Amino acid sequence: MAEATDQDLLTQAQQGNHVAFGQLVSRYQTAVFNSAYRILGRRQDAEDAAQEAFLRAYRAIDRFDVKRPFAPWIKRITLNLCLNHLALAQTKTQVVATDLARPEDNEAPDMDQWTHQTPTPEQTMEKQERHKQLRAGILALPPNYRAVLELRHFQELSYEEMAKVLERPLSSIKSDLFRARKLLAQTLKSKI
Amino acid sequence: MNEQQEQLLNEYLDGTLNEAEQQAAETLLATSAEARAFFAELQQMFIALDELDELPLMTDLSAQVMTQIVAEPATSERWIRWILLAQIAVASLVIMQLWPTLQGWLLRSQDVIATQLNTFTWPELTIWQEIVAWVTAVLNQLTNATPTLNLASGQWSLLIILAFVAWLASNRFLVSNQNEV
Repeated sequence: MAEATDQDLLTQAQQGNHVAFGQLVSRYQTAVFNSAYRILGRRQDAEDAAQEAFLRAYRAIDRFDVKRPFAPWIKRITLNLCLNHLALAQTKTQVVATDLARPEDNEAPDMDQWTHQTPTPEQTMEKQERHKQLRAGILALPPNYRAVLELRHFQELSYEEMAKVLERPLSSIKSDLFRARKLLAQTLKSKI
Repeated sequence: MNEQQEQLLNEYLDGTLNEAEQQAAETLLATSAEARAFFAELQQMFIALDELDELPLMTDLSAQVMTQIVAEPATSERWIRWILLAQIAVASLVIMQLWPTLQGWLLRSQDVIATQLNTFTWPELTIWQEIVAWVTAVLNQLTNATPTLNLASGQWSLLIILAFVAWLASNRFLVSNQNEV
């Protein structure tokens, strides 16, 4: 049987079918969690933010146009939640070494890789180290820089869409994006 | 290389430049080794960001979300709207029933004010009389046993608009910020 589309699940959720909404959560929870983690930098905070984002989406589901894609909407809710969280905390996120060093934060072993082209352990470790440094570099940026990187590189919004989501002028968005990339490049260079 | 040139190369890589700007970026890259080195670093960062893996989620959020959803109040927005409409309808019926009493009070009040202030001529009193007369005309027609369609369309429109505004005002749309995006 063909898997239900997002539109089908959303329509059922609007009619009060909680299970349909649960399927949507299962489908997008990892992406939403990662979106939150890239802004907040702490696993527990990211899980809490992701959970709250889904709850808010459920409460607003009646007003959602099912013809629109669900993923951008839920990620936008998540981003706003995370930025509000950081604004309330009013502290720059300290990248805790243990958050990045815990074994469960590294990629789960993907058994599909063990077929024809298996990377060597050294290659895997190098890749994991690069990703860890990149995440740390992103989390070392101010929240508004993290937000523009998230929207441009991970949610693939245009400049105009970013300006609309963040409710800021286009010139300010462009400026933040360029400075964010520059700072990130400097941070990554200093780690080499 | 100045900041403006760096921004130009950023936008070139983002694919957001017009034809003339693209030409300017390509000329810069062709003529400046520093620009080429900057561009190469920028490309590497773009690739690194694109390749960044997702972290695995260690808990199943759907179970927790479902538990909270089930525990939420059963009344959905749809039912709240019907309840609000019913309240407005009941309020309108009550006002229609009480209107003769209210009208009498207003007219008596008007007489008292006119008697006490009969030495003055206040334009505001004339406006008040006109407002009272208009509202009385509208509601008198509504208190007929069978609502007629003879009410002027403007008066019906205004009543409907007032009822709609009252519905919106008591609905979350006007007063609360529920728009998440």
